[in-house]
Amino acid sequence: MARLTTVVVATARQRALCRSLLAPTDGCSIVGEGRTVVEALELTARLQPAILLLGSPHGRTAPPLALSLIRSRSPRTRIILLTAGSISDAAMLAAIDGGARGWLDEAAAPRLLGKAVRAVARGEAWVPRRITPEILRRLAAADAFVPKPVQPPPPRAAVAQLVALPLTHPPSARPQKERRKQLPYPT
Amino acid sequence: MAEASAEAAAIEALKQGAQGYCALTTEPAVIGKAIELVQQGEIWVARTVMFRLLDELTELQTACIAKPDADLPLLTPREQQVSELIAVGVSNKEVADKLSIAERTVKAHLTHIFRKLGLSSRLQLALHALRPSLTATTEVR
Repeated sequence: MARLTTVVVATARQRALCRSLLAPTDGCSIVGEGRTVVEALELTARLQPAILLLGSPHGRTAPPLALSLIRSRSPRTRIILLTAGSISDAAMLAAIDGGARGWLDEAAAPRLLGKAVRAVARGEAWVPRRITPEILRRLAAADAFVPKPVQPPPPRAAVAQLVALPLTHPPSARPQKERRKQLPYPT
Repeated sequence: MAEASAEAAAIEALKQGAQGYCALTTEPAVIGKAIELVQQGEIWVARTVMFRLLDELTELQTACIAKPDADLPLLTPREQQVSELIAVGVSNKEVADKLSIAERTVKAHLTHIFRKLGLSSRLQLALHALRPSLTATTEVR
């Protein structure tokens, strides 16, 4: 089994927790650690890990723009958020917009961290199931606004036929003029 | 449903209003759980399908903000470093510390960046930093 490289950028407590839980025997290895979003950007760009565990205190997450930038510097890296406490739907969706593919509450980490890391690494999302309807709603809405394809020009034969028609107005296009002529006073 | 191409079909079906998707290989116990959840009004999606849904959503967002513009004047490598740090929410002082330059120099770089790119705020710069032309290969030291 290939080694699963992980970078952990989080608070000291969260980093210690990850170190204790992601044992090399599980095929996971922590190849870099940091504290700030800037360090996350640097470490992922340099180490190109499979997983970035991005921690934050109090259920807050890194700005989606930062996540996008991290992803643009290391496209193969999959980001999992680690928060102290639950995460709001809005914050989760914003993080997904930025490129996060997983989220884990610190409290559940002892039980689920290894499982979540391996799942996300093999292409599975690890996000709260409750946001599924909103994700589908957004995608369906985006599909509804896809512009319709431009109509192709009419075939040459049809154009030639139109050009060959006499340049006269059909009778239905003239009634107003006719009616005006019949008025007893000038208009 | 068969695995790979079926996922795309499943995503389409979910967008059209399907309440759940299980692959052919799904274990009976999981299917049972899925049925139970759907009966409760929830949506059941396998984690792999969810991953693809998230990919679509992220691509959608990226497409909204990352429109490459070939006419943009290029930033110098240093200006790119500054703009990328500002994009992730770093203050001028932190940028100065990070790049070992004076804060006044950071401000000067920012002035040049704003002028070159026709921007007026840090938020605009953050959005702009996600454009492919800017987020190239510079490494922050």
